[in-house]
Amino acid sequence: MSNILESIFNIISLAFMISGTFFMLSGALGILRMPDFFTRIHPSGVIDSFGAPLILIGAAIHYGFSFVTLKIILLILLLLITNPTATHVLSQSALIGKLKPLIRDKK
Amino acid sequence: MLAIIITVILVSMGMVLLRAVMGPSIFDRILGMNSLTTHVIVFIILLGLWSGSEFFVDIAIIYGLISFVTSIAFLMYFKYRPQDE
Repeated sequence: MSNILESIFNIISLAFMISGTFFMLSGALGILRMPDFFTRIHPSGVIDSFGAPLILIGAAIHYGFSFVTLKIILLILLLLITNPTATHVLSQSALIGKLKPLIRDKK
Repeated sequence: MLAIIITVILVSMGMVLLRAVMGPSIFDRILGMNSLTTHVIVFIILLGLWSGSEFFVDIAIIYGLISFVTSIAFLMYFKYRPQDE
């Protein structure tokens, strides 16, 4: 009975980790290939809000329910608070620093 | 399966590092480094899963705090300064 439960937890944590890995890979591809700075912020947000928390939730399920799970939840909250702050300051500082956004001309 | 996930994370870390190296402006470089720190946090957690030790989580928390302070400090330095290049 306990063996079946453990394998179910393993499958759930692997599913979380694989989906998070997909989001992190697509976000890194977007950071490498997007044409402008202000469009590169968008895949950075995909990495910070989908990729990393999904992988960390998968790791927390894999560790089982102990004190480490609490630490990983603290780490997820830290990431979800600090990364949007850094991105906001980054885009505001790019606007003040006279970086022109890429705007398509009206025909 | 965990080895494949770690390999994919390493590949995406290389792509973000390439953007940080060849970014046209200084803000692209800071964005690339800020995203690289998120990759490194996830990589430390996966390394802890792979080696079976629980103490990698504390290192990841400390790394996250230091990376946030570093990013904010660089941006406050470059905020009121016209763009070079």
